Amino acid sequence: MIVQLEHLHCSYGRTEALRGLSLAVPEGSTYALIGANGAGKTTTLKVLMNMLVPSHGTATVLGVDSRRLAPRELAQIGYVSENQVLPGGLRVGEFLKFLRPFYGSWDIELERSILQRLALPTEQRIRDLSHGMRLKMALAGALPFRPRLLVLDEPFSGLDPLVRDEFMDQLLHHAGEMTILISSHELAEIENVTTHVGFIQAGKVLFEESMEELTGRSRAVRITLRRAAVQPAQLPPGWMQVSADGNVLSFIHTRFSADSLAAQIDSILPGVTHVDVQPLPLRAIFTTLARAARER
Amino acid sequence: MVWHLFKKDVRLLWPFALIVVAGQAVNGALHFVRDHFVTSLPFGYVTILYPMVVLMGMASLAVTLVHQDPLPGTAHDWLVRPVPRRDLLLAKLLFVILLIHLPMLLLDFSEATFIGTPAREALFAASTRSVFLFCAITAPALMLGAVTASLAEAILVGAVVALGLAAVILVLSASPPYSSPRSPMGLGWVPTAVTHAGLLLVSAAIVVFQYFRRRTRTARTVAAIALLALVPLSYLPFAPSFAVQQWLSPTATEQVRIDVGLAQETRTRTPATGADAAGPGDRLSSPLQRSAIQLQLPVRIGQMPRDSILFVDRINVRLIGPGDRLRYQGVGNCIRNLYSTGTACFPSEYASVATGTYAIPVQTLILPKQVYTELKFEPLRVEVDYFLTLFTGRPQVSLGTSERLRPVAGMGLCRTGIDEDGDAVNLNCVSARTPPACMTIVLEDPRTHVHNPPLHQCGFDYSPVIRGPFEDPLVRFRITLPFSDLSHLIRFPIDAPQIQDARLLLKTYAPAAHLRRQLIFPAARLSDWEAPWAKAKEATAGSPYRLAN
Repeated sequence: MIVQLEHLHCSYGRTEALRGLSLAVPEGSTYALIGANGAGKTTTLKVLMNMLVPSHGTATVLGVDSRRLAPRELAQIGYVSENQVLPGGLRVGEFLKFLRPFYGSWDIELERSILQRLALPTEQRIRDLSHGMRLKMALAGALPFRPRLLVLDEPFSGLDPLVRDEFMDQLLHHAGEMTILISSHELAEIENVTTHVGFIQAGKVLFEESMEELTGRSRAVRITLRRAAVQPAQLPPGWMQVSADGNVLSFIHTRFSADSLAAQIDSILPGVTHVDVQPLPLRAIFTTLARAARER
Repeated sequence: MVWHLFKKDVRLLWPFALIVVAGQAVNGALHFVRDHFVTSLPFGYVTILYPMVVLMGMASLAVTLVHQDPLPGTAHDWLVRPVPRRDLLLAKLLFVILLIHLPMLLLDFSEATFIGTPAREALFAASTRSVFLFCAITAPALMLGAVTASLAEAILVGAVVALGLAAVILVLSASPPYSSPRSPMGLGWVPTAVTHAGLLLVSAAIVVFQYFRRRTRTARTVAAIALLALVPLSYLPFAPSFAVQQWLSPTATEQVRIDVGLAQETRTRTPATGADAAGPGDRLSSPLQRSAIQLQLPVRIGQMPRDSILFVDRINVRLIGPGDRLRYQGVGNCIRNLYSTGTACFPSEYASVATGTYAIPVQTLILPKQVYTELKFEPLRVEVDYFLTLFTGRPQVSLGTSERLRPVAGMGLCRTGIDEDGDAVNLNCVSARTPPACMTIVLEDPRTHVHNPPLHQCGFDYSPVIRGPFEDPLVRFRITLPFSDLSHLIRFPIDAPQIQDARLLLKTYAPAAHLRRQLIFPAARLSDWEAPWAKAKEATAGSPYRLAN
């Protein structure tokens, strides 16, 4: 595991942001950290970058305790955050030139190509850049040294569609070369690159699994009956957001398998005429799980 | 990486640094004009206030420098970069040295040499000012920068800390034991220097802690506690201060043979020539008289070197009753001020102008009135510790009454001239060293040797360097020799008509040694030593037990 967090606790004054959070990011994966606002995603990333110190628990990054991250490890980690404060007085080109000597693996050709792809104006001062351009600038400063681990904290926040596409293009271009740990609300954007998902709720990871498993077990199910549909008194495990409309019963199955669904229908829903099962996008899975978690 | 990081800061801050350097250059120019030309009073105020603006600029630059890579917070890009913290800190220090202190040192050196100060003296003054400002301004500013994230926050925190410290100092000054005299007079520089050294250590510790640990809340708490702990340092007890002064003394204490003993004759005050022997009896103001009593001890001072002045820095007195019971101990030449904070101390000064020995038949000792009233008739063993400073005279120097700025031995660079009213001669000096502790000046006609009453004054500062050179590296002082007495009724022999042919004879005294002497009166009664004026007042009041108010 390139990142391993165990029983992390972290507080801002009296507010506990992380409450025993544990997760593991496999090397080479693109790990999406998803959760509602205030769930603890940004805090988690800041702890693993040693910007915040946990009150309890351990965070290991590249095999090193995050509190002991030295320049040697930081030279292998790229970090981009929506709130990142860059040295505003420097020009884009000056900033990249300033960064070069810190990274032994800095690839100037790659830097040029990224600058070109992201269409960054090298002569402009960073403080004069728009929010989107600054995020692109941060990405341009996080990729040319080919990091082993790229940490992205809400990188699409406030970006217009064009910039978002440019940003995603860069990510897709480099995905596979590195491990990416990304926290984002823009689930539609990251769905295509994500290999693993961790779902955070109130400072804890509710579940983490591979994207394949998650999408494999989540389905939108629509059952047509001969008579008027009624919501079953006892819902089978994994059935969520159940609704009845005429003779159609709809729900989201979060523990889907074709065999188990057939067995469940046979046991509680007689007179089924048609069953429609559709795969769910990550966004729908997230909203379903988030609502369920909130209701709990 | 130090140089690389330094270059980044230069790229970002060179306009600010240039403004500060320009400000320093203007400051030097203003002082040059003030030293060379007669200027107006408002201009004088400008030369005093303007340097404060430059110093604030320096402090702001140091704070802004640290804020280029802020230590508090979690959003700054440098935190996720492989920037070695040690290199970052060294780069900041390099910036402070090369872009703040080096230009200042060069400008200060230029200002001092331009005015005519010898290069060695000018370099000494410029370097000591640079070290002083690093301890007092730049290092604390770096500390402030390390625990804040923006200039506005730094100003707010700085103001709160300054107000808090001022309040603590005010409260301490008004309450015992801090209100008692600690290191008065010429030794005052020692606690100041120790406090500044402490401030430098605290600043360094906090800055290093923040760069390597980055725990802002802890750093702020520790800094606040440490700054509070520094306050008592400015009340350093007298004994260590005097020990430091003895250690720095140009003459070894053992080589000084001055002896303090019991005098045969008593109660005869003999005025000194050249330098008046003055005791507190002449100086105690009325409110102080209400709380204190003066005694006149029969003391003889012998073996005084020729052409010297002996100054009593401190008298510690212990009154021991029968059975070795300590009845009182305290300072015998200082008294708590009744109507304000702090204490008032009264110097005693003895001169040996020509004879080589000069017997002082009386030595004044101040005791709290309550103590005296209680013990005045009791048999006591009185132990008196004298802390003394010996000044030796430099050769006399002659100056015209209207001279341009020129070097004067022991004084620095001086110019003379008649004041605007035409009723006095002004001696204005600029020096790269501490002004002479004592000096005697007389205005005389060289042809007839008729002269005005000599003016003798002592500034009492034994500091080896200029104290608090906030304005610039030089110290300025002015001595005015009037042609008449204070009432303007008595005209002195050298008056305006004779002034063109007159000359100033100037003699300065420098501290040569600091020594301790003890005097023990095995069996004494305090009432025997009561000053005659106090006795007279008591007699008028009609009661031997009441003191006059």
